[in-house]
Amino acid sequence: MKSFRSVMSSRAFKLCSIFSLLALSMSSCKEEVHQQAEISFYHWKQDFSLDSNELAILSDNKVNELYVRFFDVTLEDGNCVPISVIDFNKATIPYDVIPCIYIENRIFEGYNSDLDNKIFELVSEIAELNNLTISEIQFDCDWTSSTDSNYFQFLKNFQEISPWIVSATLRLHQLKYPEMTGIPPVDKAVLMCYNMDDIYDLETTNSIISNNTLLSYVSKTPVYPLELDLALPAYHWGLVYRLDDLALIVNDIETDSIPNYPFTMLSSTKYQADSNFYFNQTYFNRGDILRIEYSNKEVLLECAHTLKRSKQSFKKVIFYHINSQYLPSYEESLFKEIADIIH
Amino acid sequence: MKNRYLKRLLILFISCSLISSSVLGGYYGPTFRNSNFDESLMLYDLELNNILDILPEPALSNIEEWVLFFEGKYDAKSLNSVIYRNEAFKGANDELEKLQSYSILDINLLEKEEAFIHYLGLALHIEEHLKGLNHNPWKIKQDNAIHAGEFDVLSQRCEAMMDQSSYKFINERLAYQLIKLNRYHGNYDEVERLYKLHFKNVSSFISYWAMDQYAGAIRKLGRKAESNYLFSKVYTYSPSRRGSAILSIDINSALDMQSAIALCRNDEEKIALYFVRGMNSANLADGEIQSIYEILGDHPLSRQLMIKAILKVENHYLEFDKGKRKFNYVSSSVENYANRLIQLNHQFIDGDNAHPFWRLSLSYLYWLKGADDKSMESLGDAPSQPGLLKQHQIIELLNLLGDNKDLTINEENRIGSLLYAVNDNLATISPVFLDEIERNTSYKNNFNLYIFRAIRSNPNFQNDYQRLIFSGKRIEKDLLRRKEQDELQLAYTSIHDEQLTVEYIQKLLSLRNKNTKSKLIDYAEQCYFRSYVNRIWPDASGDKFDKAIDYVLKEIEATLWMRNPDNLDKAISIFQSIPVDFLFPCSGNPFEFRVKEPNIHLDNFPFNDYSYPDSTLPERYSKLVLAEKLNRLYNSKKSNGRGKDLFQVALAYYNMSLSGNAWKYLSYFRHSNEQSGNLHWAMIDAMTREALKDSSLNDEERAMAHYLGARCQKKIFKSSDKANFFNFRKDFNKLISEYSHTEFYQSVVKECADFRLYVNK
Repeated sequence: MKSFRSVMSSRAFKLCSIFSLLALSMSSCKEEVHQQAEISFYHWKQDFSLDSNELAILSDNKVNELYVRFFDVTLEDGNCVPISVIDFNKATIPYDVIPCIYIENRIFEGYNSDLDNKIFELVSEIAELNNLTISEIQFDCDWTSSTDSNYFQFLKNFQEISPWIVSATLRLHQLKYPEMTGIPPVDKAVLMCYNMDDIYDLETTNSIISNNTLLSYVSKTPVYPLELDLALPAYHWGLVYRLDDLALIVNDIETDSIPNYPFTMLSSTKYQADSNFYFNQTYFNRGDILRIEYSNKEVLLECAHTLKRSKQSFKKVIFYHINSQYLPSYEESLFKEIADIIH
Repeated sequence: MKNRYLKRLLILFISCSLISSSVLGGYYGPTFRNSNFDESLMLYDLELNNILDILPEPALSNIEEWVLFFEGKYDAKSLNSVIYRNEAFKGANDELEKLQSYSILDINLLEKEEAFIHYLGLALHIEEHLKGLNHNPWKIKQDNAIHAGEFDVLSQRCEAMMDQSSYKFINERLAYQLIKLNRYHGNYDEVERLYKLHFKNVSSFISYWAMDQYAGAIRKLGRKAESNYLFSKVYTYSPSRRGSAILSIDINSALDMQSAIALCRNDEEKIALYFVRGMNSANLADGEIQSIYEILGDHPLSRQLMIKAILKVENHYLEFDKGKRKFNYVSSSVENYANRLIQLNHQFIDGDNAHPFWRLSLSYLYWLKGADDKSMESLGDAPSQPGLLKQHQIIELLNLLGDNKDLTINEENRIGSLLYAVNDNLATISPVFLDEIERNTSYKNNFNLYIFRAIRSNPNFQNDYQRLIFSGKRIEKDLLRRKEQDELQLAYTSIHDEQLTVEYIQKLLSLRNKNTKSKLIDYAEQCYFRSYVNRIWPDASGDKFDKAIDYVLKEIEATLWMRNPDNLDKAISIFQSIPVDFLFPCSGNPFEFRVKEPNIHLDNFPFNDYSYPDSTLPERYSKLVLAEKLNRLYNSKKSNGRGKDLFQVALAYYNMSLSGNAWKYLSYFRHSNEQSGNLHWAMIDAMTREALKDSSLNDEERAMAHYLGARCQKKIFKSSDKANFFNFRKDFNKLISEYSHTEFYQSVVKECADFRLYVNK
């Protein structure tokens, strides 16, 4: 005799689950005066590890789920291949893990009939090898008008074969212009509120996050027809401009050490290299302009209020990314404060 | 377990270059090909081919080694087909026989040939085995057990063959195969043992391939400094492995660099590390030039780095598409960089026995910055080495040209002479250094084109004739082939929208004969007309070539006149004034009546052939003879039978239209999509109507005239009134109602689908 689950399609099963959960959460909402949005973090390193600082941050913020980048999908010789596949290093993970798969947009310039199966099987194998139970998967792809139909078809196909909840990332322009960009056929979406401005322009103040830019996308935008989570930046980096062009990105730059190197300070966030030297695993050339970009507390809070005033609502706030080098610079209560505003 | 190493290694190396700081540029090869300062000039004199070759194909380099092994008995092409192939090894005897069939020298090398064949069989087997190791990227757990047994067999075969072989050349390759086999199976310690056993203190071609494998293996053993040191040696001394070595060098801290330098055995090895770092396309290289200078003074590698630096800065100072400098608009960071490079050049020039290269690079940098006086002052005397001399001439020429300068006739003459000089006395718009073409590199931008663009943007060179000859193209692809893609993508495309008209050609003729011709104009005319004139007068030079250009233009003018029968007199008069050589007999018989419409796609394939004349079809008339015949027919004074003559003219003009089989009489180019030229259907229709007024035409002739008229009407219909599909070709009605008894009518019914469609409408 077939089980109830096998009789129902996985898609139908998921929809039922989601509706049940929604109904449950709606009824519980009525009883609650105020509830904070859930907090979560992205883990975006190839080798899975969490040091004591990171564990403390997760614990302080009562994090139950981690969004973990499993691999990227790129094209090699015309074939889709996974790269930088995560290595869990036999770690025991005391969180629910939500695999995140970044897929290069160009992949969907052609139709890849088998990609859904390949991804499903690889994620399943990684999960099995590391004793992970998967209930949700998140796809990240900056789709365009020339790739949307193939990408959306892929998402539909994936939902047919997988029992997991499927979420997809959403850029700000995709939120504002759903009629032009399409709405991904997924269970829910996560709005990415970072990488907002032109990274290549030397004159950009902060390409990571800007409340003015956010306002232009969300202030009059109607409710998005999908359940939304929110992704906010919690990182910093150094952008190196050489002969006026963006030459390098220095992730997790050690800003405290800048005074120890031959930089001339041009402004509070800009420095000029006075000679050739290595700093932060990067070879700087004389004349390079280093621009430090942060997602600082004030802007994050401003953006949180902007989002609160918008027509969108978010169940969860996911910070990009768990990182012991930078996160401790925030006040301990910041993530809760933001989640409190957002909800 | 080890099968996935091949891919993993590749991914690791790619990741190293991407994940480290070099996310936006980690290529260590020369990437800038658009330049007035040509890096390949170094090839002429400095004997640095091993350093400067642009990533030669590893397979080709290997084949060259085998050609030497066989003492020239086999050429590279044959050996390439034997070694790099898709089909399986067919057994020693068959393979030996096949090899020997390629022999180009009658010498007995049986022992070498047998050794080679045995080695080849094993090497191909190993290749197959390694291909099988490619792991499935979509699986974490790989099934490798099946490969382990084969690995043992192949290793033993390698070792046994090495014991038996008496050729060091082949033994080294066997050792290389063994090292490769072990590396891809993850036996890194064994790779190290084998490398040290077979290649210690060896600097043969294949030893660097083995070093490349060895460096990769010790990287996996965690010895980063050593592997960086070895990869930098591979990069510097083995151009054929440069492509893989560049991705493997992973120096991203001062400690990494110091550790690698500490392993260097001499100063040459140390500067190789600086050289590799400087060659990274993201890096500016001035610091590395200085480092090399401090270690070994004026060294060829610092000159190569300076070339790379100049090519980088040149991109900011030049607008190649417009043939212009933009020194007033560069940022301070670019200007500071250029100034640092200038300082470095002065440092070298001020040293003892400075290489003449430094004066050239200094002079060019000053020119880029708009300091023309300093540029000329720094240039100094012309060096004697041919490559450097060319660069000297290029810089002098650029200085003479200036920006939008009103050139004197003497300056134009000097520029023209220099253009000839740098191009080995050939007028061309190809790169000065022709090996760039052989390397199959893009030459959209090069020195010659830069000069042409600079002249086209100069307001003093704006008349139609100058714009024509400085188009950077040839007449076949320009004036006679309008509306084509501008292949060289000149910024100022010239006459794409211009009609090929009598007035335009007359203007060109008038302008070209107006002024004294300078050497510069001569150079451009040679570029523009030479290949076309060569088909007629291959030996034309001086006045003869000059006259040839006039004849070419006049022939075009006469052809354009000929498109209208009322102007045949004018056409004949011009045709008579030019040598008969220029009046090619054309293909196709204009007076042949064909019921079937010539298929523009198939009948005259290639339909877009602009070659002139077409040798694939029978020759009929010269244009002069044809024009005279048409003129006679058109002006026929016959009172009875003039209609027959006029019908012949109409038929000829139909056949000479772009839909006819004799189109080359009146046009130079046709394309199925972009028809231009002779499309005078209404004129031909009117002639048939005039012809039909003559009662002397018999029924067969009248039927043909009506059919021709209907065909013209169909052409006119296509471009205008789509609503009246069947009202056009009204002559078909006449054909049906009055001439169905003719033989011609029967042939139309049989052969013309369009007519049948009309009948059944």
